[in-house]
Amino acid sequence: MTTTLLAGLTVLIIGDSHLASPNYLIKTLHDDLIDQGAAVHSIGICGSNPGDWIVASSAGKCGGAERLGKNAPTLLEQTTSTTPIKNLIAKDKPNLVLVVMGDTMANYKRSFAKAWAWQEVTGLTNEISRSGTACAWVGPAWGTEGGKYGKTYARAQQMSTFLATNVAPCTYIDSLSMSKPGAWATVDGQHFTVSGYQAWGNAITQSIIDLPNIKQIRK
Amino acid sequence: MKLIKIYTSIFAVAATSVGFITHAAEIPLYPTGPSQDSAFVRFINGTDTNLTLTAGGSKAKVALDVNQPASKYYPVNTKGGITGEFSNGKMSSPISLNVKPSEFATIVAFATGGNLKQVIIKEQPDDFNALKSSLALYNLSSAGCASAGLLVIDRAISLFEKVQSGTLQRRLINPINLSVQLTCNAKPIGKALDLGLLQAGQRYSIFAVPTADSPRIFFASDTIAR
Repeated sequence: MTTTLLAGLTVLIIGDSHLASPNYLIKTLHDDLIDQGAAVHSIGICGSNPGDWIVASSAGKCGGAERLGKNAPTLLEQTTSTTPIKNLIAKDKPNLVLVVMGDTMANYKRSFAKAWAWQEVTGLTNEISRSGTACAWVGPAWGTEGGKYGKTYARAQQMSTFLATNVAPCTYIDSLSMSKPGAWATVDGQHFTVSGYQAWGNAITQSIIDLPNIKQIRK
Repeated sequence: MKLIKIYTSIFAVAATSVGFITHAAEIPLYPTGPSQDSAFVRFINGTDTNLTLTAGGSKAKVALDVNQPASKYYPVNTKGGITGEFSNGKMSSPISLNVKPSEFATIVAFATGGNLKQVIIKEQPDDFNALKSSLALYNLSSAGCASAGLLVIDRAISLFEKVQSGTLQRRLINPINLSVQLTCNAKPIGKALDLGLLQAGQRYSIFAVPTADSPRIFFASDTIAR
C-alpha cells in the first residue's frame, strides 16, 4: 500500500549479498520504502564486510547490484568494488544510511572473531557518524541451520547480540525479532526465497517507520 | 612507510587470501568472517624522557613523547613475531613478542637503575560496547604500589581495587565527566587526574608507573590505527 509515511526521506542502503540479487532486499525493501514515500538508493556488494565500505574493496568478489529509485536493479561485475561510504554520503546526501550486514561477519564455520567484528563495525559507524547522517543497522535474520555457509541459530543470535551493543550511534534493527527461527525458507541456509525476502523487507520497513530519529525527521 | 602498514601487511594478506568457490546458485559461495581473529599491539613510554619506537625490519619510527606517551593500537599478524626497539638516545631496549588472535598487547618501557626495560601485558577484551565507555587501570608501578586502586574524585566511589603490580583490570562505565585519584594499598597517592568527558564506545587506559618519588598515573585512549 502506498503511503506518505516516509515522504521527504532519502535513504541510502548498503549491504552484502542480501542486497545483491534482483529478488532480494534490493527489490523488496527498496520497493517498500519507495511505497512509503522515500527516495531510495541501494547498493549490495556480495561478501562485503563493514570495513569494505570505508575504502573501495571488491570484498567477496562475487558480484553485486545497484538500484536507484524506481529503476530496475543493475547487476554488477563479479569483481565490482564498493564505493567508500564517505563518497556515497557526499553524493546522495541521505537523511538515513541503512546498513544491512551481519551474516558476512558471523564466521559460521569457525569461532566468532569478536575483536575483528568490533574493528569492522566501529570503523564504519565512526565514518558514518563523522558525516552527521542518521543511520540504522539491520542485523542478521534467522535463516535456516546448516547449508553451505554452516549457519547456526546460536551464532546468528551471538552476532545479533554483538551488533545490538556495538552499532551505536546507529540504531539497531533486530531481524531476529521479526520471525521465528526457520520460519522464512532459504535456498542455502542464509539467502531467502522470494517470500522470505518479502517478509524481511516489509518488517525492516515497518521498523524504519517506527524509528524515533525518523519520526523526528518527518516532523 | 607508516608503522601501521608494516604491522598490518601480513594480516591483510591473511584476510584476503581465503579461497572462493563458484556455485550454480545466484550468489556464489563467499567466506564469512576472517580465518582468525584480529590482534593488536601498542607501545607506551613509561619513563620521564622522550622515547622513540623503531619497528623491526622497516626501521619506521614513532615518537613516544612524555606528553603523548601512548601509541595507537596497531593491527598485527599473529603468525610471525613482532620486533622493534625502544630508545631514548642514550639507552635502548629490544622488543620481541608474539601475539595471539583476539589479544591486545601493550608494551611499556621503563627506566630502571640506569637501564631501559619493558613490561608486556596482554588482554583479551570481551566488553565491546558502543553505549558505554571502557576504562582499564594498568598497574605497572612495581614495588612502589603492590596493590593499586582508583577513586572517583568527589564521589567516594572506587572504580578499581587491588590491581596487583604487573596486571590490569578493565570495566565498563557510563560516559561521564570523570576525575580520578590513584591509591596504593588503599592510600591516595599523587595528584588527581582529570579524564574529561568520556565518550560512549571509546576505550581508555590509565597507567600507573613508577617514578623516583611515588607512582604517577597518566591516561590514554585505546585508539585503533586504521
